[in-house]
Amino acid sequence: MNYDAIEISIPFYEITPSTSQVLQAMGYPPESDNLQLKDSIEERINEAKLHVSATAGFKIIAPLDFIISKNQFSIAGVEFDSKKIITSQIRKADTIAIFTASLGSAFDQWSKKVQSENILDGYIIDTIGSETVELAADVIEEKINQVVTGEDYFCSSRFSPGYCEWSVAEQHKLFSFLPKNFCGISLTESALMNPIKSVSGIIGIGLNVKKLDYHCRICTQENCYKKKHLV
Amino acid sequence: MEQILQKISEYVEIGKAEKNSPYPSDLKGIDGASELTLQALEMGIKPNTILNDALLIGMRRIGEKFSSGKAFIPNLLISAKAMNAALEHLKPFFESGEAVFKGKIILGTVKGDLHDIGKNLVKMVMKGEGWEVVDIGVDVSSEKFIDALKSHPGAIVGLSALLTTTMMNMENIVHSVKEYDSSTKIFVGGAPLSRQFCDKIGADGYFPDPHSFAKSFHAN
Ligand code: B12
Repeated sequence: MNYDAIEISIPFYEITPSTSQVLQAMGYPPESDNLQLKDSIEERINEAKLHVSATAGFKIIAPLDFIISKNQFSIAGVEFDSKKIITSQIRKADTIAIFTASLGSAFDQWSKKVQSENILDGYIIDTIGSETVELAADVIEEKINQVVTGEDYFCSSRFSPGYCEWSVAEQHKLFSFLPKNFCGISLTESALMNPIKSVSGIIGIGLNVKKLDYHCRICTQENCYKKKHLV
Repeated sequence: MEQILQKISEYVEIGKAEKNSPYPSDLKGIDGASELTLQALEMGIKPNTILNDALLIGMRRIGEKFSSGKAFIPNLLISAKAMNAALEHLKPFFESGEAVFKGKIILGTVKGDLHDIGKNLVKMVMKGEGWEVVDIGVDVSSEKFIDALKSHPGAIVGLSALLTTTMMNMENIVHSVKEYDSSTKIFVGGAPLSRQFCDKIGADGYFPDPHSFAKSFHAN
């Protein structure tokens, strides 16, 4: 297995969200037929390709550096309080991959500019960005899967700080294992990733790891939208 | 008079801002909320009547649809846009005092946080609800909120945050602002917020969306 940090750029056509996906992310039911919005969304998706410069990457931690227990894991002695929902899902992992994905800062600037001129279009662009970066995370997850299965290992689902009771503040520790400015992302003091349209997370890797369902029902993060979607 | 007011409210609700607005396509080329407001003023209808009995009625109707899940944020924005196009004509009357704003709100995303879409949506909807909005941007410190209050005494304050880490900075801002002037009302919002958190930090109210926020100030 290669333990170097790997960064790839992803062309926009591979991660272009569909109009109905954007509409649904704004709350509309799948069958909704709002022509005004559909036209604007399509137009803005077309323009987005000029502003998205997506990069994603991952680093697999050397198994010798990785230890996992009931409620936490550690990398090279640095402990992560990832809480039991996540650790239970990667309990059998021999190691993890840390991943990030970002649309780049030009997208944020475009979004900001349009928001100041026309808030509806600004909201459309913001939503396109959120969907696009999630698709970029799907691409990198798939890439990690390919690399790992090539070595006869398996992957867990992906987990991000800020979900499943794992604190966002732990991103500082997580990013310390990635090269500086990896995928063009920097962290602010409050663990916010800059550019805004960025995501981070981990994926468990092991001979006996399985993709399990997310454990929303036992999570105590009351305001999480994944949990709200359950009911 | 009844008729024109009703038409204006209808056009605000469906978001028919101006004559040349491309949507709804079947109304293309027909006078919108903006033109009708001008006509209403020419007919001698009082600016406050246009505001309260036409524009705000339209906003309320779309707001009710939003509350019952029949409309979504973009619908609120489309209506607010039509509302704002009409409000342009009422501007001089706000300045002369013939029409009055519902109130003034200072809005900012708190220190450490750069997310501005949530705040910007609140801004647009509040403007559409007849509020004067002072937007002081993102990554805003206690000092900046207090400076804004000095320039706009009596305004209420709205704080936004998107992450639990940055939401923690709200507590400090609430304390400093209340220390500066304990009568200032502070409202909080953003994805990770909750009523419990709002109560814990001593803010005056939490609202999950701009419509419920605006509605909390409606008289009935
Ligand atoms: C889309 C999304 C993203 C997008 C970016 C969001 C954006 N707009 O730029 C992407 C995919 C990039 C993303 C990334 C991350 N996200 Co995210 N994301 C969301 C999601 C699904 C929707 C947020 C959103 O954009 N909503 C639309 C906007 C318009 O809504 P809003 O800002 O909340 O504002 C509305 C209301 O809150 C209200 N409002 C806002 N401010 C105010 C102020 C006042 C006074 C009032 C009255 C009302 C009000 O009115 C607005 C209109 O209705 C939420 C979950 C959810 N459903 O809320 C999680 C959520 C915000 N994310 C979360 C997390 C953890 C993250 C990451 C840290 C995950 C990771 N490790 O990668 C990163 C951080 C990114 C960064 N830059 O640092 C958490 C945050 C909580 C926490 N634990 O800190 C949430 C809440 C999910 C969860 N776990 O429940 N995310």
